Amino acid sequence: MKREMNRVHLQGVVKKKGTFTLYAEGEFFPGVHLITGKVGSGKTSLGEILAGIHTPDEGTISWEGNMRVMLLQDTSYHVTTITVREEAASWHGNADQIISLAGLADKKDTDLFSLSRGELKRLILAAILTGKYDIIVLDEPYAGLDNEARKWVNRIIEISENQVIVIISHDITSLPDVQYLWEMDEGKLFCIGRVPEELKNWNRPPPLVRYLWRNGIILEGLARYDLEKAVCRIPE
Amino acid sequence: MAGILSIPSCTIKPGICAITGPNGSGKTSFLKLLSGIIHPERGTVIIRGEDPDRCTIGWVGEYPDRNMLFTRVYDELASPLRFAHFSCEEIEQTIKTLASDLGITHLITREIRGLSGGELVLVAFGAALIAKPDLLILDETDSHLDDEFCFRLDVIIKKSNIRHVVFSTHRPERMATADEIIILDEGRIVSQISLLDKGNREFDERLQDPWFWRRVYKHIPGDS
Repeated sequence: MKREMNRVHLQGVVKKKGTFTLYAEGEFFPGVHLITGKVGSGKTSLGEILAGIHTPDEGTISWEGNMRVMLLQDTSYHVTTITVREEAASWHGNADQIISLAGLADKKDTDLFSLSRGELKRLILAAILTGKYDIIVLDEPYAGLDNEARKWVNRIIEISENQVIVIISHDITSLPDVQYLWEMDEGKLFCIGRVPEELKNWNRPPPLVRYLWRNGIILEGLARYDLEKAVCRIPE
Repeated sequence: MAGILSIPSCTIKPGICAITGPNGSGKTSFLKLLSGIIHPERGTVIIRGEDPDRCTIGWVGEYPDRNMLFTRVYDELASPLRFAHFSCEEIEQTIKTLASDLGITHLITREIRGLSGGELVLVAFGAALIAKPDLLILDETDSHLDDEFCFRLDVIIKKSNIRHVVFSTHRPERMATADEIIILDEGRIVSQISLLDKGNREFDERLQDPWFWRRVYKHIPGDS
């Protein structure tokens, strides 16, 4: 009953876009990966390569294992139908389950574009996260989501098995338990390593992390509860 | 319409105001009411004694390029002034000054297409600020931006001296930059908090507390 391990492998990947060049190399194993980086550092382009939407100009990318890949983009790109009910049915998986997970049971016949931004995002996320994909790349999954919805996304992510989940986000205060940290810096992908052991190698940590370090606090992880625990240890 | 708002009365003081609340609570509808994009079925919205329709409003959304009308950065920046029949010389001068303030002088001859996400936000800011709006609206503009980029925008906003800036966000660290916070739920204002002085309001989690974030940012300057 041995299942082949899912894995994405990038070797000497180069992708050019105008004056911008992306370089990426590394292996993405099952687990939750976080890719951070500044605006314009190439996070979204990397996500598109990981999902196979764009092919590299040089180098290779291979998906090993079951290879069902899905990328969360801006939600309006995902819309192919008119109503909530139709959209849920257009995905792999159980439409009723998707709708109830998204909390839209009383809006089944609502036009997708009259949902609020967060509601549409929940619908697409529910479809993706219950779709049994092997590799899921989530580009800014928390954008437009309120606190409750962020926790909801993380609960689903944390019960996933044997999946490679890549979260692309600059928003580090809403994360689930992350196992691997990556950083994009001016087009180049750096593998920072396992969380929490290698967090100290983070090149451009966000202000909160720098503030914690300055106060001598060592992070036990990047999940929301790890951060809450860490900030409570800051002396008044 | 996504949200149905019911606001018996609310006064927003000059300065920076953050709007927050759960998904579907009416944040965007509230911003549209303030800016005159939609009109209330009952009641009135008044900005400095005027109807919003008679005021100059700047709007930057979550995906700024979706509101852009022109293909060149220069034309996009010039458009609010051209529509207002300013002279070409005046427009050129204003764009020069503004572009330099925003650090986008190198972009003004470029096409909108091909700009990076961050560059688009700066151009959208330029187009929103150029007509010196009475009210600047930022509708979840921060949701794709990193902290350091947001700091840069904060400086631009402070320097612009716009009387009213109202932004919606889900991020407590962004609310820390406001003078007051309005919390909406199911179309109603459930709380309006001044951040000008601390008071004794308690937040359940430290990461939700704007005062905590002010401490972080005070000790950690914008640039690493």
